[in-house]
Amino acid sequence: MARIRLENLKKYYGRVKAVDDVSLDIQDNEFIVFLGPSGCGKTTTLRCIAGLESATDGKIYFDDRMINDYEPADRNIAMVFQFYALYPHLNVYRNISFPLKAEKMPAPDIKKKIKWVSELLRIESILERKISELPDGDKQKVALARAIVRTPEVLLLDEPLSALDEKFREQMRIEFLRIQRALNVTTVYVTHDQREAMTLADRIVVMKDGKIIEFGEPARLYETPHNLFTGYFIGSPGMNFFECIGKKDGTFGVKTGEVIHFSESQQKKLKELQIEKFIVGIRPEYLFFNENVDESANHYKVRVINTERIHEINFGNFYIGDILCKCFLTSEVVSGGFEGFVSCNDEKICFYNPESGHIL
Amino acid sequence: MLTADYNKYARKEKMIKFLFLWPTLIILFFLIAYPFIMLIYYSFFNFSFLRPVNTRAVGFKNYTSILTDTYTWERFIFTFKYVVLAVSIQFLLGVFIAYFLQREFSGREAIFTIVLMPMMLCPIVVGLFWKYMFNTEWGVINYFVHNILGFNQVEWLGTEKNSLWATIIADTWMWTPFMILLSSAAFSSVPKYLYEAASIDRASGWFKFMNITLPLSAPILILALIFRLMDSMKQFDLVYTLTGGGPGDATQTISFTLYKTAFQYFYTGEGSAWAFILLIIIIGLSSILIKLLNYLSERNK
Repeated sequence: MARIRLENLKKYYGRVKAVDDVSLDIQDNEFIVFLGPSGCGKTTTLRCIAGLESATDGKIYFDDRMINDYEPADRNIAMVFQFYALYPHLNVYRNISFPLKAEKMPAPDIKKKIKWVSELLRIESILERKISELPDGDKQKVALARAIVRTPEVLLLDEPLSALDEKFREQMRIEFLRIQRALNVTTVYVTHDQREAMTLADRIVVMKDGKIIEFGEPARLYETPHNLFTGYFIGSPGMNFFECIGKKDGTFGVKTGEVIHFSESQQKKLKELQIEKFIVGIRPEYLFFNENVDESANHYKVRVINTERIHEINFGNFYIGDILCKCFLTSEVVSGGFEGFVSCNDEKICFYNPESGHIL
Repeated sequence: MLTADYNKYARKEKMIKFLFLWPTLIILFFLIAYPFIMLIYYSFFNFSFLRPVNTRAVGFKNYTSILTDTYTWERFIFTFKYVVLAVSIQFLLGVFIAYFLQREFSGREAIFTIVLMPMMLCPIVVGLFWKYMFNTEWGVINYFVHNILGFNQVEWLGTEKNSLWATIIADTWMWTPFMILLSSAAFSSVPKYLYEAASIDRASGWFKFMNITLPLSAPILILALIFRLMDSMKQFDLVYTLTGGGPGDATQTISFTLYKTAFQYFYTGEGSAWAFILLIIIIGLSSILIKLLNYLSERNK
């Protein structure tokens, strides 16, 4: 129900640049996820949007209103905190009614609102319970109920699932999506869990060291990350990266000398780029192992040293030069090493500039 | 065989525990239990340690004569008046000042130290210098009232009503810092993220204070109240130096009356009865507050 625009947002703590020149345009009703390792500035950015931290520099807009100087109360936002931040001395009902009481809503209206929100979140049965008696999943539901009961313009969620165990998490992910679609509220969600980001987001903001690395739809970030860091951070296992050098005889190889055979079209593309050194990125899921080789396609001779099962998929570990890589194994797992070739679809390979880490 | 060994071991264990305990138990007995038992014992005699010869058991006469005397009730009423007024003023003032000392500002530490100083003084000294400050002719307070504000001189320690207030003022000056200290501790124990959640929930400063700060710091505040209540029910030293119980007997607290009975008139038996009555009152009041305290801490968990 509101667009959020960040213009060159900066937040410094002394010399530490927690948020370093972040600009971003979030559409109405969009579900945005800030993704990054801890300390990357994602939570600080969220807290700046919430008004819990004041920006060192830069502007924050809701629609066309600049809200830098607005108190959190005047921003019409709601927030769910990592550790719930529920009021321990109040029961569930009173926790949810707190924001309504704060704006002096008459009691019958409060009752109606709470009936609505508790049905939406299916927490009617625990309204009279004490907070300390609730399991963690319910606590987070109550925190979500308290946040949305006022129907805010912007919903902010700060790592809301990281304190929950895996079972609850999956349930709550679905719940968050359902609620967000039902309410049509612009949502900013902070997490360090890339799976959460992939399932929830309309668009993901990948952050590192206070800067935005990349901003885009989950599928695009997964398929063709525009930055090495995104490729590494999204997906589990992450992308394979290895450095490649163009040789004088027109072939390509790694530092230690092994030759990598690219397909005709790829070679043509690489020559057009006129670059000597580049980084090849390829997702393990797209790198297939075969015992025989198709000479026309790209291929590389490998010795799989061991196999590994990640999320019910078999991966083989092997070396390209001195870099450990993973490939997808179609066949059943064979213990010990075996030899063969890996190859992949041309479109799945990404080339990166080794200096900037950007896609070529 | 094995059980026999075990029993032997257990007996030895018990022995050692007992050996560690008894020195403390003996000391406690002579310092607390014995005097207390003697206190109850003497309260049933017309005993005076100046004239121990004619001592007779008098049953409950000490109690009945105390409790049926209108003079006693006047002392009780004065003490309760003083306790309720002084403690509630200190409490409100303490919470109010602590509320403003909550935020960070430069010199906060220094202000804290200065504010806490009266509490570190000896009550006898406090009583003495307030007595001089309250002096009608040349006291610094009347200097303000009369010479600067232009009102008539107030006979602070001369009338019944004024001397009650003089006592309350001196006591408040001395003990408000205690309330500030405990209130500050209570307020700062409220987690910061609750305030963040509340400000996002659009709560005003006052709403936050009433709905988060106060309920969550209530257990510590109640504890502070218990301390002050117990302490001021026993008020003696400040009154002794400030008003000497006067004018007349107007500012005699229960403790003061107890002191006079036991150590000026040397009615040891009756004095013991007084002490026992005072003890019962304090225990009664405290247990009500401790119940409240337990209820609040349970709720905040």
